[in-house]
Amino acid sequence: MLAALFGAAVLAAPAGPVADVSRPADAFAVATVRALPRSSFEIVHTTRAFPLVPAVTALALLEHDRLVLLSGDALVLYRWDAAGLVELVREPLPGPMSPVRSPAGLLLLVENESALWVLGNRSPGAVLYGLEGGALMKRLEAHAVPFPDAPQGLRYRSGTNLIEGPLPGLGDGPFVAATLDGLAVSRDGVLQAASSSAGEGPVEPMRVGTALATIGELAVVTSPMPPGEADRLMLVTWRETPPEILVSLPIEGAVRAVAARRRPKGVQVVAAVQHPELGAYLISYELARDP
Amino acid sequence: MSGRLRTSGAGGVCALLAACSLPALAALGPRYGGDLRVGVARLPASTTPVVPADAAERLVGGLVHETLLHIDRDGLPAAGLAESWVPAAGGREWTLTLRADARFQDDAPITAEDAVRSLRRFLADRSAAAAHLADGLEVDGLAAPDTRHLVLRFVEPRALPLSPLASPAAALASRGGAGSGPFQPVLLIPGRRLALTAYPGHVRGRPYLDHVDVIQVPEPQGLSADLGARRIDVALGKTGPSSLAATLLLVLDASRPPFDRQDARAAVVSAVDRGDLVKQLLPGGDPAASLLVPALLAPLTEETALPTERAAGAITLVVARDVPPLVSQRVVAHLEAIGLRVVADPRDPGEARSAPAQARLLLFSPEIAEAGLVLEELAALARAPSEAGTALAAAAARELDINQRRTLLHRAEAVLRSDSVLVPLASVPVSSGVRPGVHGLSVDLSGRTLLEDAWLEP
Repeated sequence: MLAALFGAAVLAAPAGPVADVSRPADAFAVATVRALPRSSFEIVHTTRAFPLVPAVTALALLEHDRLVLLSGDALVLYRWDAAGLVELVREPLPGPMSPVRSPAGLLLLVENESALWVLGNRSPGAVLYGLEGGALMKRLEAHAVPFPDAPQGLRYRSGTNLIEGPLPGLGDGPFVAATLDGLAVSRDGVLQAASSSAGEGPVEPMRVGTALATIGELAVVTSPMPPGEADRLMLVTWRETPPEILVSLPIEGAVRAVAARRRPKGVQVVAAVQHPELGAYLISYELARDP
Repeated sequence: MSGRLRTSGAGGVCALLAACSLPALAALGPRYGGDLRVGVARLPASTTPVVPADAAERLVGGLVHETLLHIDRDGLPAAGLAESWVPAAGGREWTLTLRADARFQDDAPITAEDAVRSLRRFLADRSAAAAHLADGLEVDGLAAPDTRHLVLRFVEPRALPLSPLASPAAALASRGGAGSGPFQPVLLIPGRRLALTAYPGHVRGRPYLDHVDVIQVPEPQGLSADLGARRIDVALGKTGPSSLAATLLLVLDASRPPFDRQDARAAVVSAVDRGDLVKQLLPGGDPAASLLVPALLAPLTEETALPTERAAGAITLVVARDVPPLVSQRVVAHLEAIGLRVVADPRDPGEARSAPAQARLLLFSPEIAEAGLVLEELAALARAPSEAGTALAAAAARELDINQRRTLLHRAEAVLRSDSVLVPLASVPVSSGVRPGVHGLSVDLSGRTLLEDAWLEP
């Protein structure tokens, strides 16, 4: 435990706005998405922490200030509260591991967020963990992650970061990200909603990056800009046609994974970012709805 | 051990570093899928492992084949098909462990016996690196005690003894001739097209691209036009991602007139205005008078310009076709300015390296980007290197202290250059033109264009 305490650092920023969310976002967004009409959220708190992992491929937020990261060949459970980021448990994924050029992973909370499916693209199978008392209890291993109405479940195409289709309402794929409530990012970088989810057919095409999370009618997406361009974290409505960008935040580095959850007055968005000099870091935004 | 070469167990460290290496701020990460068309001036006739003579052979070799080891940017061995290597017997015996799951593209497992067979073929070719390895090995110094372990026994401890295994000609091939590189050839139409498909079993993982088509576009202007018209996505040799990985080199034949006289050779050395050549015709180049590019062996001191001498006589200058025409014309003009009558004879790069002529103008990229081996390769190119230079290179090969070795290499480079047989004119960037939306292409220090990490923006 002592090593874990030494291994983590937290930089807390004062509350208040840290980014200009009032100006129009990137050109790609203006072209394909309804322009920012208003800021319906404000940033009330930002925190940054540095987990001792080389890179993060997926993350999920749990109860009791817990979060899990998928990094390399392991699932790592942390407590992240005002005192800092503390590593609690590190669980290796089942092997043997295959070499891949772009590590990727999926963490899907199921059973009313009492269990977590874990899938990495280097590992031959998926693992279901129970989340009892803030701990990880391994329940079973499977060849794929069960997915509603998808007989093959979720699995990675061998040696790639592409999730095999078909997925209900989303087509044959492949996809680079998918969520249980029917939102996905296609290989071409298009945000796709299952036609049955909205009842009105797919949303208008919006190009995004690889990281994706949903929280009810909101989605957290990233910039589709190529290398050399700064990344952005965006909170968008996804059941509307066209989607609307509510918040657009510049990010130092490249967002590799995102997660979000409801808060009493808004939402919390956490991003795992890879920075060429800083390495992997986590940044958390507490966003409150404008009254 | 401080200051000593560290080579054992480097595989694990390098694998860790590779996992940590990241592109610069990349909002959009690499995407799998897509096809890439690469235009080259001359398509290689086959895909068998060879010492590459030009950029296209380097490209194809790197696409189809994989070696036991690579050389990293610091000149040290890095893991390839071998995942680790350890010394024994005071550094005279080295055991390499092959990756357990490695397979050739024809699905045959890669065994130590395949490694021994492939290395014997490499040693028979007698390239500079093969000669270096053969000179150091005991008779029957290659052995495969089991399927995963390869043993090399040397006569005496050497600096970086395993570096020659990184030669493209030392790539492992199956009994059926299959390679284990990131792309598998599926169609070769000599002189026209080589089609390749991604090999999922590559040791560093499946490449991002699904297919690569290497297409021969003979005219240099044709490459630019095809790139501009998007008939190709990459044009080898055109302006784009680059690495200072070649030396523009004039090689003089000291065995016959007029360059059998030291003063005639010295006149050539002082005739070419290297600064002007780089400034006018070789953007991104380095005019330092060094045989090795700066990343391999940084020049110690600035050369003082010598007074221009005169020379007389008619010479044939063999010019490798990958030397830009404007550059060769400028060099010819400089040579004629000191009194030589020059007949230029353009040849393919491989032919130009070995052609008998009073002078040869080459774009030299090394077989292996390791300073000691590069100097030995250059000495072989000189045909009659000075005894002092050869002795220094041999001493460097035996020197295990990294700082002492670097000093010896500097001295060997200076001696090799001092008899004015090898005349470095500039360090030159090796580059490939790419259309917008192609990412991840790079050029290594041996001038090889790497496509295994290339990807296409959606």
